[in-house]
Amino acid sequence: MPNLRKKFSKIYDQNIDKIYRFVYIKVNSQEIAEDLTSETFLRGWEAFKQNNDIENPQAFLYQIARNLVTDFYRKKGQVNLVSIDNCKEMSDPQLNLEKQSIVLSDMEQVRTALIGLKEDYQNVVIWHYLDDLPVPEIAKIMGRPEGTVRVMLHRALKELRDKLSKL
Amino acid sequence: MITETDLIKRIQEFKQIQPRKDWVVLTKSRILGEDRAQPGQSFVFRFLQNKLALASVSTVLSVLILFGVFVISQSALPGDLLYSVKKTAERIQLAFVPDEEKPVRQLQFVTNRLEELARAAQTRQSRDLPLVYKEVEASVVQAAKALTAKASRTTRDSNLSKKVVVQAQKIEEKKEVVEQLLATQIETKELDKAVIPYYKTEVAREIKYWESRTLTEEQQQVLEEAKKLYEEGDYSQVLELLLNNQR
Repeated sequence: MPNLRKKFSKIYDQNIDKIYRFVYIKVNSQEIAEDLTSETFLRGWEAFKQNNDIENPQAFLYQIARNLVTDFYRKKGQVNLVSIDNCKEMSDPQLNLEKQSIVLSDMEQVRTALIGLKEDYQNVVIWHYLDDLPVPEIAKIMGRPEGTVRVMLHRALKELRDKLSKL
Repeated sequence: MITETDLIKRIQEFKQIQPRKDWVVLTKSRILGEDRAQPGQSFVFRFLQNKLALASVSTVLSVLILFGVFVISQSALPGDLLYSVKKTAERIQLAFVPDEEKPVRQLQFVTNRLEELARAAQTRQSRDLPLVYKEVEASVVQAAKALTAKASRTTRDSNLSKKVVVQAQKIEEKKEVVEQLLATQIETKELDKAVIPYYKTEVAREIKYWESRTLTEEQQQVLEEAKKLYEEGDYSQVLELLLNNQR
């Protein structure tokens, strides 16, 4: 067991920042991001104990995180919860971007635009440009051909540019 | 419209989003905390394992503590808290000594008591001395009883006799020292009463043994000298002479 713990500890260290960032961008709340991220790794650890020969632990953790975020939104009715301690956080990605652009920072504009994309598009952008994952790696995570991932990346960036240009 | 390059740069600003360091550490320890139990081990098994381990450690500690107390008690004097421990240790020693050796051990205890009296005379106030002196008297009585009991045996044991002679001499030497310290005589009449018959018996036995053997001229002279001393009643000298010159 100490050996397994050591292995997973390494996986934890390598992925905690990425998973947290991935979740945070989607839920826009430190508290919720921490909850969902810790739940991700807890489930990951339980699964790892049962089968410590997971081929791609990173992809596995992302899958768990994605499912948890989906469940979170399903329960919360697609409404982003805003922490009262952070007045910079947005409430609803579907709100009129023009009205919000006056008070939003650049980062928040990008985030708002990003989470306005389809989930798969959000993910490929986050994985490729934030986590620096190569296209083949993303293809493995998504279970899609590399060509499809490249197309998705291209389309995602175009949509983002379109959304941001309207601000 | 924002260029693709600028957009990518802005997206990459999200790399600043990082979890709190303390939360990261805490979460890791919470998730990867030590297992409380190995799978398959029942609560009873784990409890017993711990109980056995605890019992083993307790036993070792108890032995170490007892040993420590024993060592410290060796310097205790009558009236000290650990003096009873010292006396108990002596009684235990006596219990494990063969019967024929018991007089020798009892004589050693007399020497111990005299040493205690000497230390008490040097370090304590005079009002504590009666207590120490009583212990000397008690040990003398015990030694005398043991010697009297052995004097009645029928078998010759020159090794034992030697040991008794040596211990008796030590007692005499220690007694002289204490008497000088206290400027008073130490009463050991009980012991003297027991020692003399013991010596007499042992001397008679030794002489008989020597007479039954073929002696060299030198040994014959020793025997003659021994018999003279025996007639004079100097039994301890006779015993010493014969035991030191025996074949």
